[in-house]
Amino acid sequence: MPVLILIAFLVIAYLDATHLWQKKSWRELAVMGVVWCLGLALSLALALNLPVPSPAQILARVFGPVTEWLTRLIG
Amino acid sequence: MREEGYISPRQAAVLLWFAVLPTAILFLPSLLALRARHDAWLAVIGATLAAAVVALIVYLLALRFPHYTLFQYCELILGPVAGKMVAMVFVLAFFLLDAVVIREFSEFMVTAVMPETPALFFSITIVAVAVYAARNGLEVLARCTDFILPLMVTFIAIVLLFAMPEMMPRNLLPILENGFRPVLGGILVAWSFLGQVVILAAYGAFVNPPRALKASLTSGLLGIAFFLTLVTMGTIFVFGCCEAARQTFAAYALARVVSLGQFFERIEVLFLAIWVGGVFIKITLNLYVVALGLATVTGLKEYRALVASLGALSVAVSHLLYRNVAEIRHDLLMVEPGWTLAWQLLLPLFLLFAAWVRGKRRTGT
Repeated sequence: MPVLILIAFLVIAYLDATHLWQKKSWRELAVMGVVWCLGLALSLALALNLPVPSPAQILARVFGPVTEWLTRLIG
Repeated sequence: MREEGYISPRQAAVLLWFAVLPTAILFLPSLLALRARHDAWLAVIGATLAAAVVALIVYLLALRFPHYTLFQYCELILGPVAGKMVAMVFVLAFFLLDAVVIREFSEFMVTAVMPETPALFFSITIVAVAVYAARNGLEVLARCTDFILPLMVTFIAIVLLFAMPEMMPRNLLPILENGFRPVLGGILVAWSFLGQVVILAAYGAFVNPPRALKASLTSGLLGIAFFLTLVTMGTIFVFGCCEAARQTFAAYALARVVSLGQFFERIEVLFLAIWVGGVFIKITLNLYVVALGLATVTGLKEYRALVASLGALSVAVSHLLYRNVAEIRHDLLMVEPGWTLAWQLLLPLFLLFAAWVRGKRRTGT
């Protein structure tokens, strides 16, 4: 699985980054690189079963009480 | 950053339908039956009125900043630093929404249709197509809807028409049995879907002329309310509120009960095909808006290079989000209303208020 993920991300990098490199658009390349690295790191972490906190849990911790309060208030 | 090209007001309205309806049709009827009982359809209408407030805010902002996207006028209103931060909140919110939609799609396919296939397969294939479509820009996506919309409308009509023998209008009575409070609770749940009309603030800049945005917002909202009310009423008619609340995917179950004279059966496959088309538009639109927003915030000249990486990241995030479909339902009931109220209503309202106080506008460009 990690090998497949690596191949998929390398294909994305090859298709997008080579074009940007030739055009010398470094800013685009930097932003794309950050997103690409985030995606690769997250995918590998998930494939290797590392504990990653879910954004849904973070949202639930903040907005769960808000929603509960609203529901009690009007519903 | 803004792209070349324009879409017509009609296409903007249709895109708005696709920005809300696909997941709402699938998840909302049963959640509403859980909260509002027989009065689920009243909750849809109430939530539409609430979404009309968002539409009004979006329209007023669009009049102040014609041909500017949401992410651009964030900076114009609040200055470069605070504006970029608020725009980034919108980008993250749209990104998270995209990931949730991808997860809802793959979870539905695994739960209801193909339980043996890994969920990852569904999300990767639909995102691959969405990346391809989003790279081609908004005009192409708008023309995609011209093809999918007639199919979707026809099919919703066919399902509702042929489910009629099973329908019992008595299920709708008594209206307002427990007063208005359950309806208000239902509005809160339905709101988190209908509030997504805020996405028009992001792509409304490409509608020409900007004043026509009023027509797109009105017809968009009316269409959404019409179809959603019909489908919700249909599920209540057929299943009654208790059974509808137990079904995870009530609209899909509605397509399954259609059976005419032992030969016209199992049309849920057709429902599936059209629904996948609709979700594809929704995911692509969100992906496009995220890429456009990120390109605007970081000051790029082009968003196209970001789309594939963002798509890959959103697949990973979508698999991180929830453990199973029960968690999605719990989130839609207990977390999403508060979160969507914050970024789809309060944040645009704050932007409009700030623009009004600071007297910012860009007319005549």
